[in-house]
Amino acid sequence: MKLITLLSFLVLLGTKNLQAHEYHFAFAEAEYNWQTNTIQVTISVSSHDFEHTLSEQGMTVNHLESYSNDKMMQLSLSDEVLKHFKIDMGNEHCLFAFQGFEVLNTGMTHFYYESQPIQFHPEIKAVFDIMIDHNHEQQNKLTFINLKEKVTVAFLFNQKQQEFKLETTKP
Amino acid sequence: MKYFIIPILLLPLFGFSQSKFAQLGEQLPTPNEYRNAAGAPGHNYYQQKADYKIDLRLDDDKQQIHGVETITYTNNSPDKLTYLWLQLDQNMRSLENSDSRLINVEKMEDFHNIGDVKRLFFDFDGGFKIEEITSSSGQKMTYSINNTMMRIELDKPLAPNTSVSFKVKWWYNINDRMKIGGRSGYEYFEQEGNYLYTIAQFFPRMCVYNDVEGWQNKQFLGAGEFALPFGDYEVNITVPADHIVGATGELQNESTVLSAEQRNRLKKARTADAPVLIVTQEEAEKAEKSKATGTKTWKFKATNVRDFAFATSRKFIWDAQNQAVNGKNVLCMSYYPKEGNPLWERYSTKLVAHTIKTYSKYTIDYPYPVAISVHSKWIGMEYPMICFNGGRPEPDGTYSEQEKYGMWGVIIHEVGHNFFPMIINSDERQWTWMDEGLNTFVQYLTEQEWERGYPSRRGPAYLIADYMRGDKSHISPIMTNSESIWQFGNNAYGKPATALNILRETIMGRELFDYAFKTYCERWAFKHPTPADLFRTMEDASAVDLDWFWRGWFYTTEHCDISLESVKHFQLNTGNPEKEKANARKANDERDQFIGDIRNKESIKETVNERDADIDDFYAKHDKFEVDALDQKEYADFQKKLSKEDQALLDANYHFYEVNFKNIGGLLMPLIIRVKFIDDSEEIIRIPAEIWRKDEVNVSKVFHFTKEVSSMRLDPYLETADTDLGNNSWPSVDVPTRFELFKEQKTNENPMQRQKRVEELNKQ
Repeated sequence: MKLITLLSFLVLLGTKNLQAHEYHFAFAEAEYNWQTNTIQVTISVSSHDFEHTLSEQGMTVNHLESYSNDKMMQLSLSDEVLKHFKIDMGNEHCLFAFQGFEVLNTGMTHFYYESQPIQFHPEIKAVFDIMIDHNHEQQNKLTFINLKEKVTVAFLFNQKQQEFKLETTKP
Repeated sequence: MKYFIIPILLLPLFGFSQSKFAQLGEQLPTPNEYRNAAGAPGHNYYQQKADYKIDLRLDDDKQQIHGVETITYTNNSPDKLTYLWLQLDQNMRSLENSDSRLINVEKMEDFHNIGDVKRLFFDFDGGFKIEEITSSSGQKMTYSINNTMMRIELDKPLAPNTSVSFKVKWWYNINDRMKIGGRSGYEYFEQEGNYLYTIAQFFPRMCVYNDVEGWQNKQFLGAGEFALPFGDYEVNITVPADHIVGATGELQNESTVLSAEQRNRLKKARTADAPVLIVTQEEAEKAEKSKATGTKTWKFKATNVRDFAFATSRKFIWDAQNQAVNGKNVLCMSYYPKEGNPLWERYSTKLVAHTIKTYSKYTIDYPYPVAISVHSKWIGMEYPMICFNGGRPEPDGTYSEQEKYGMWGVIIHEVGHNFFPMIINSDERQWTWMDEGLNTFVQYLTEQEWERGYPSRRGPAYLIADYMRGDKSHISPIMTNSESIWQFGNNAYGKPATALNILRETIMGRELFDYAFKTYCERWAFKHPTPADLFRTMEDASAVDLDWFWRGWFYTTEHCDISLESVKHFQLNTGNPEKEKANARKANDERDQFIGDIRNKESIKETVNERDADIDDFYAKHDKFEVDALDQKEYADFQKKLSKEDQALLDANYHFYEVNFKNIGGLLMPLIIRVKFIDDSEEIIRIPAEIWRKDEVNVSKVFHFTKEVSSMRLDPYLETADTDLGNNSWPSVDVPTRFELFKEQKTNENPMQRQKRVEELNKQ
């Protein structure tokens, strides 16, 4: 489900948010693990931005850290994150399993995922548009790590999908 | 791998690209009589003055504010002014005088439900209604409004060193901040029918006219805030009689608006070193249960400020304490509704006092008599002597750790804005970073003095790495106008704060940096600095050429990724045949062997020369690693030519390491190398960024030690914002991903839950 924008537009123009203070940035670090043939992912979001987005979506949420022992709620939050993070390796779509999350006092929350085993393919198609529909200032970045190679791509309101090719194809 | 060398002269490397070290001359404005080349105000520096006398009336029934203001504008410039420009920031919410909605990019996919669509049709007219503008003689003056700006025509040009007074009568509808946002507005408490007003940017305000751009003429679009001329204010605020008002400046009529008990408490607070309640929660709760029918007028005076703001509500709890700054007392105060407790009564005023004290140390002594923090849900916004801050606990009175740190951080930040830009009055509408970035930097210093290990969100170099790496197509240089910045928070808050932190910790050192930064603050307090004034002062006061740093960090989007490419180990050839030939033999024995040779040792039982003694001649029998008489004679001759110093050098058994570095990210930074030796001792080597001046991509350096090195690590203290730590080590070390770190320390309970288990265990 995509989110409210006009309200966020008005808020954006008129105020400076308490904790986010114009944060609007999410970051994903994904690594292909050649031992397990899985992709291991950490998605980092501004806690306050994410809470705000969810509440404007109509989801009743407290502070994320209050769910550190609530498995059902964690999965629910994870589902929201995964709606906006997709990776295709070659023609195969990655299926991610939620591993856990951490809320940091710096105001960031990390969500951890691991994919089901997937055959390595150097061509990657990625979508990472979390909170972008909610706030057009949002900018997300993905760094994909494959052995020593690192590729970083940016995702924006008008660029929610990125395709790139890894140069290293075997360990 | 180890190499043996004899000393030789190395030819200097060539490659004369100095673009990144070129001086900033062309980028900076030419120094002149108003702003000199040292970065200080020039001998003819001037600035305008705008004094205000304002009578305000709050209509609590209609949520309107009505004002009559008399502005006295003094032209200190050398120019004749034929018209005056004023800012009408509330027109950003005007139905007829605002482009804000029009310039917002939208797509149909933004509208997902009926709520979205309703908001599209939602109209609120929050723009100024200018009723009348009259001259001091009562004559109507001609004016025209261009969205958020208003031009007033003068009967005759305003000559240098003369003043003009005029009166503006206006009103506007106050915005519901919780529904449509805003830096100011009201919060409505539905259950009890009360309002909490935080009112700012609320009156027509004189624009800045200066040597840099003439009249400040950028419209208020929302992101770039404002800059205003300094002046003196006398403001009378009429509100319902049961309201408590906090405002920029000092209260002039305590005896009229406060009870005897409140005045006693306030008197006590003026000398207290901990908060004293002037209005208690019990009193505030009592007040919010009824509504006064009469009004009271609160009178405030503020001297040499660039703006005026206030907050008013019958819900306010009010506390205060003293904070001495170099012998001068500052009354630190907080105003908050009961919904802010328990956080606010415990922390707010102490945070205000700590911020005033700490910023005064790093910048200038806080010059105003009061400093105020007002609780306003969700936001953080600053004005002279007063700011509006979020940090609201849950309705049940509990709060998360994050909320606590969020509240602490926002109060320190917004109180800190008193210094940047309220006193060091940069133009926010042009350069957001000049106040947000500098303020975020000092905020970091202040947070670290509040609590050891404070989890500051911005400041430390490593925290900006995610933002700076990779695709640069949609991030902006810091030197970008406020309204055109991609990634506002990282660009205008995080990156400049990080850059200053790097200057302080790594490039200049704390002593040089602190002196230069304080010099900038002292030079430009109560004046209008520009970026060039900061850049020049930091160099002028430190004797450190920082042009390359400003260029890289402020004018480009390059990032730091320096790799430790390779390390080669060398030792001096002593010439001693006993030692050198033994080393050569050892190296020969340890060299890699071809697989065929290894297998042949077993498969070929006997070769011809092993069977036939006549085959091996001199060459076959000669042991080139054996020391002979000629070797010894030559060594003796060699020693005779050596001085004592040469001999000592050869005997010292130095280990030489040629280390090669590559600048992958493009941003020039110093090289900080931690060298660990085989005996587990270590040494830190710091090489200034100027090592890149002849080659901005590849450089090498030779280090010598008396001990053999076991490892080297680049940027071991995470001080350069290096975006890839995976190429910083020799031998190569895999840096764990966040996922791997999480897996290593995975636990399903938070620290408080663990503590509960500990307590339960202790009970058993």
